[in-house]
Amino acid sequence: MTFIRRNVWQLGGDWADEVLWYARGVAAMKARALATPTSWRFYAGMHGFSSARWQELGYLAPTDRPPSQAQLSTFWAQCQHGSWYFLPWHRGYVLALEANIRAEVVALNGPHDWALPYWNYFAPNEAALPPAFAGPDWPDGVGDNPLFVKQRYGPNGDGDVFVPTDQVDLNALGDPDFTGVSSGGSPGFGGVDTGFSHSGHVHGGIETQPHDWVHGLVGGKDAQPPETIGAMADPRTAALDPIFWLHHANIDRLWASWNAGPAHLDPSQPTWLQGPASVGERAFCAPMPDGTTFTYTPGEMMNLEDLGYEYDDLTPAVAPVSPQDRLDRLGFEVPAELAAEEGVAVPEETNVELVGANDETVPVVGSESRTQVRLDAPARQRVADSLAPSVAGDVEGVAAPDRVFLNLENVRGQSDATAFRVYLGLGDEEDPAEHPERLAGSIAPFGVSQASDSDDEHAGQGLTFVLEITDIVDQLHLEGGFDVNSLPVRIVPVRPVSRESELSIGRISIFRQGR
Amino acid sequence: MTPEAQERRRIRMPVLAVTTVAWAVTLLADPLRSGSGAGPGAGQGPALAVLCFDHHAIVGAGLPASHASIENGAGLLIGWALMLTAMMAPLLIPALRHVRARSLRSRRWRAVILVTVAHATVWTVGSIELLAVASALRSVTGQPDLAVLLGLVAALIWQLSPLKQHCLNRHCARRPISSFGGAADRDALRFGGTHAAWCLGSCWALMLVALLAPAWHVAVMLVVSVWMWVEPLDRPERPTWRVRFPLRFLRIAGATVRSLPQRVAIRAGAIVGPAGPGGLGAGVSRSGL
Repeated sequence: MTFIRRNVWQLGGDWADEVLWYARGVAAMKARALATPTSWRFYAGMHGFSSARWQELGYLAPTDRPPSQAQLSTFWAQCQHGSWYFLPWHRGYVLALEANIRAEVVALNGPHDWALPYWNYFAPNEAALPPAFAGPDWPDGVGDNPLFVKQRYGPNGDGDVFVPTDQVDLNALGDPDFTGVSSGGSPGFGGVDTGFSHSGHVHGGIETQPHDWVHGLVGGKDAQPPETIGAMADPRTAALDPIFWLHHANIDRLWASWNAGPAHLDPSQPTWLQGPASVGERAFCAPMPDGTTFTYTPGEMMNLEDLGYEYDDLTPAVAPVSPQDRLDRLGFEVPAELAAEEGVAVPEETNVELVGANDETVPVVGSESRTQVRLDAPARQRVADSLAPSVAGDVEGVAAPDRVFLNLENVRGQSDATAFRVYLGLGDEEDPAEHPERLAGSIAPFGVSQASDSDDEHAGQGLTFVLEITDIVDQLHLEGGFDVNSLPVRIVPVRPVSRESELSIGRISIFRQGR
Repeated sequence: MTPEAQERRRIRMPVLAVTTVAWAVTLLADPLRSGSGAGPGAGQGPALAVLCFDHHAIVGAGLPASHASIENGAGLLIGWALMLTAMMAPLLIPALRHVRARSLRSRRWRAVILVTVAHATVWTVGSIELLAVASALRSVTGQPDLAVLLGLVAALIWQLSPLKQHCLNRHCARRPISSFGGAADRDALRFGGTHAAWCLGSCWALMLVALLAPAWHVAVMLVVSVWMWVEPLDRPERPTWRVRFPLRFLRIAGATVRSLPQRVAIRAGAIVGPAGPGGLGAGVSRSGL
């Protein structure tokens, strides 16, 4: 049997059967004790755990018996972030939760082919939180709706939960490579090969947007004191929220959608295929409803058909930009023999170089922060030279123009819900709202508080985010505005940031990636 | 090989090559079983004897006593540079990767050199202090065996202590560095010095044991070095009193050996991936809890 995951907004009603059965399954799992491997909270702990945060949100009581040390060591705090394992680990995690919910559905005489819906916030009129999650009541008016979470505050901190469509993007779908580098260039669609490193501080393309952003904006932070951070906004509490699973079903769907693109291949290295167990870390695993343990590797997560499920629609709501469009815009004339895109699973070589950076840490406080990224003249010229159109007399004569990336390095802070937008090249008096073409990207620093802890796995160095600014640099170059000593960067938080959040960006830098 | 692995290799291979040469020279000059206090004519090399301020051993190694001071200085420098390179170079790999990647192309070598100089300077100062402690322990106890026993006790206590974990955690951090001019130089020096300081804080007790070893001195150095290299592979943890053992290295080694046949098969194209037909569970492993 092939299970079909469908769009939650296109099921035919707020409490369509798939949603109602999901709620019943969630209720059954929530009724189990914390230490039971197939309980809701046990599954949430597999993503992350914090005693203080769980108590704050009402998910942990002094009377709760914790899982055994063996269970904790095997299953808990597994989530893979800032790593090329991000997508395959979450695929298996969602699959396992879905199997547990389905078992509950079947036990309640529900459909044997139940599958988890996904939330495609990019589709027109589907950015709002699905209604079944938004209220405290079941469809018959009875309270205690298991899909409702009180600590879900939304982008404005007022409980109105939606994904602002002007702040999310699918740029990652245009990345030709699954994996990239942590040195300033593209981290790749799926993230960086972390090798023997015990943690990755650079989030991959799809992880940054829309994954982190949706987490941060759906969870949000209560606008009223004590300004509680929403469950979805913190990796240690995110999986407690039932909307987490529909969000990750969509992220999973976007991976499948990317795979459907021309020559978008998953890695073939044994270290990816065999997973982190091949580099001394724990194997990926999850408890199943029949008492067994589902142990899996990324290599086993590559093919949806083999895994027995599919999506009703893999079409991305936003079509990725074709590389040919860029070449046309820059005036390149590409010979026919080079016009067809040749993809490789993993690029053989990537040349990444720092072009410039600002001089000091940028505190993100209040409504706006500004800084200047100083450019190194020779490096800037190399970028400009690569953007100059050329006509090839032979195949070797054409070099692809540089891709350019803005790095927000060592982002540190105490609040995971402080989302902000980043603009490049705005004039001092220009209003960012009137210049969307200068928007480099939007960042929700999902996991920043944990990453800022010196005694946690990121050693206190925070997180680094990479935004592709190739289009903006192309524009500046074509306008004659790239031949400058520095470029202005403006950080605009979604909501004013308090000093207590202690949010800062260690360094803002620009990197070129090319020949 | 992934682009990230390529970048790791750019630093790792040259550093490991330099480390290998340093160890080869060290082993040729001072065989594994040489000791620092074995007495005159014990066949120990001059470099390590000088390191341990062992005048008798210097004379016993055939150096005229009247020239001991000149050879002292030269031997000290040579021996010191060898020991520092052999033991510390691999610990620098992550730091060198960071500064190289985050520096302008025109400044990469400069940044790498500044980090290395700062690292070596801090370790040199720290090691002089450790040498003084080792010398004092020998003097106070009067017996090399007792001195090394005390060193082992200190190393064990430090290994279990939360302060050790505190140093290990901070040793992993990669801070932002400036890109231009004097600020870039200052940040590179500060980063290298800070990195070395946390490294020294984590490793000092093990180094002390190596300096106190009455025999098999170079062998002890080698064991201590390997321990120091693999310890940072483990994740940062909350500083508490606990047994610390570089378990991840053992897991990596075990996993590497176990996966070799499959890796060879994958590279040869014999296996695409172990996914099987059907739904969840088919082709993936299950085991009872």
